[in-house]
Amino acid sequence: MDTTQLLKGVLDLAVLAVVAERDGYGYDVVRRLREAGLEDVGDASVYGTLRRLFQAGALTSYVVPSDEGPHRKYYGLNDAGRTLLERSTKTWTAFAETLDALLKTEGTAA
Amino acid sequence: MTDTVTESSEVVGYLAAIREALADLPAGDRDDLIEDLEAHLHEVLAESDGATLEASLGSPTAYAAELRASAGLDPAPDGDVRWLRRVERRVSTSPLWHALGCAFEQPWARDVRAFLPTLRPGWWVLRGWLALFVLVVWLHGGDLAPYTTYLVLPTYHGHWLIGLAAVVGAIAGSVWLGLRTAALPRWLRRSVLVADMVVVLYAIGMYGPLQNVAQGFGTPSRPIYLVPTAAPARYHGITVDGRHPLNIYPYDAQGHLLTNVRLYDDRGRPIEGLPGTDQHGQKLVRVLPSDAAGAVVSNEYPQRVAAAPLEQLLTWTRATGVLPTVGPSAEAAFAVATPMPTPTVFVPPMAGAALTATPQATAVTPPPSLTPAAKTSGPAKVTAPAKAKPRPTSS
Repeated sequence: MDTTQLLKGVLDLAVLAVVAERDGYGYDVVRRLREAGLEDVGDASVYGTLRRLFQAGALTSYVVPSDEGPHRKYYGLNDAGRTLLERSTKTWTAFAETLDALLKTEGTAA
Repeated sequence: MTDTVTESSEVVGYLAAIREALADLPAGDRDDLIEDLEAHLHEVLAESDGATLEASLGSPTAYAAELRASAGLDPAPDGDVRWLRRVERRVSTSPLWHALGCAFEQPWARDVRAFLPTLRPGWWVLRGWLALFVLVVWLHGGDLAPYTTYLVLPTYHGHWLIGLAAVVGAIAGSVWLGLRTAALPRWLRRSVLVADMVVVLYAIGMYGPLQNVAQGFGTPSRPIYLVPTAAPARYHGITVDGRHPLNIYPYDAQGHLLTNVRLYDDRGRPIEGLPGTDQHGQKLVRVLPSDAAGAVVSNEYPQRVAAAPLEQLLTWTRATGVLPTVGPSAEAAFAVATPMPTPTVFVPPMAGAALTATPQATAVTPPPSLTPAAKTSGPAKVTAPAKAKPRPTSS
């Protein structure tokens, strides 16, 4: 199954989860998502998602000067972001359970 | 050091390409989106173990498309629409546009804007007429002949009823389209807009010639219209000694130039079709009279011929039929023509060079075989007065 299609639907949730764990800047979020196992995640997709969530008011951002290169813009969750994460998590859990159950019955029936 | 420079230039190039691909977005959205993309790209490049940005991220265009999708922005428009968006954006951010926008917000401007849509049905009617006009003139190879009789109604082989039916049909079609345009898909609406513009521009281009037609001179009951000659479409090729005459001058036995002579062949068909261009290829304009029924008479001779562009002829005053500024040769020829009843022979200014050499022979001098009496009624020779003799110079 093509994971990029699945990712599209849950990228918001994945990004929220990563940022909730610890504030991060664009490339840092990409790397952590990949380390967590979402290797197909697109750089531009993460970047765009961060921008959109920030625009939607779910994230705060602040700039941290960096020794090696240009300043980095860090993103963190605010209250709205945490609420969104909770709600999305519930939706996802319910969805995943439904699908699991479906697959299990299919499996026993076969 | 060198590495940093190459890195920067690669990032700058990649970033510029992304910016280009996002050029249709409002400036604010785009700047927001790529605000810290440069830093991000540097990071990617630093971590990619020497691979280029293209290799690790894909093409800038694909990257930009992914950015749009994930950031919840409009997808990129088609290639052919993109430049239009860019122009739109350039215009919409200009100070002039801003000033216009302020003007549009004035109360009076709002009244005007509220009023304008009520004019739309009027435009549909006009558009129907214009579309038919453009179609008919185009089918006639740019000739306004079908419109010379009634101006607003085209004639079809002299039948105005068919023209009326066509006008009514065209207007009905335009109104029908107008009522449905709003519900059409976007590309069709755009096509309608383009077609509207074509029709209007073509009609504007035809305005000059049409005005000539509208300014037909002569008496109201028997108007004479200025008709651009429609050669080669109607050019049947009258030849005299292998040459196409530009005009025909009938004379009676006494050597008097006859006017308003209509010529027919052995089968009763009008002899018409003098060339539409002179020997130098310049387009000629013929001033053709109309008969009692209003149809243009194209076999009446001699004809008024002019080579001036229609715009220039516009200034030709209706009352006198005198050209305002013509070369000396044409002036002389006009003087020659004055004593004759209308329509007078009009010698085109284009023939200036040829006429200067032998003006009378070309224009109205009777054939040599005529009686001496004819010569007296012929044009007076234009001779230079004695005082015009060059004075001997003092030096």
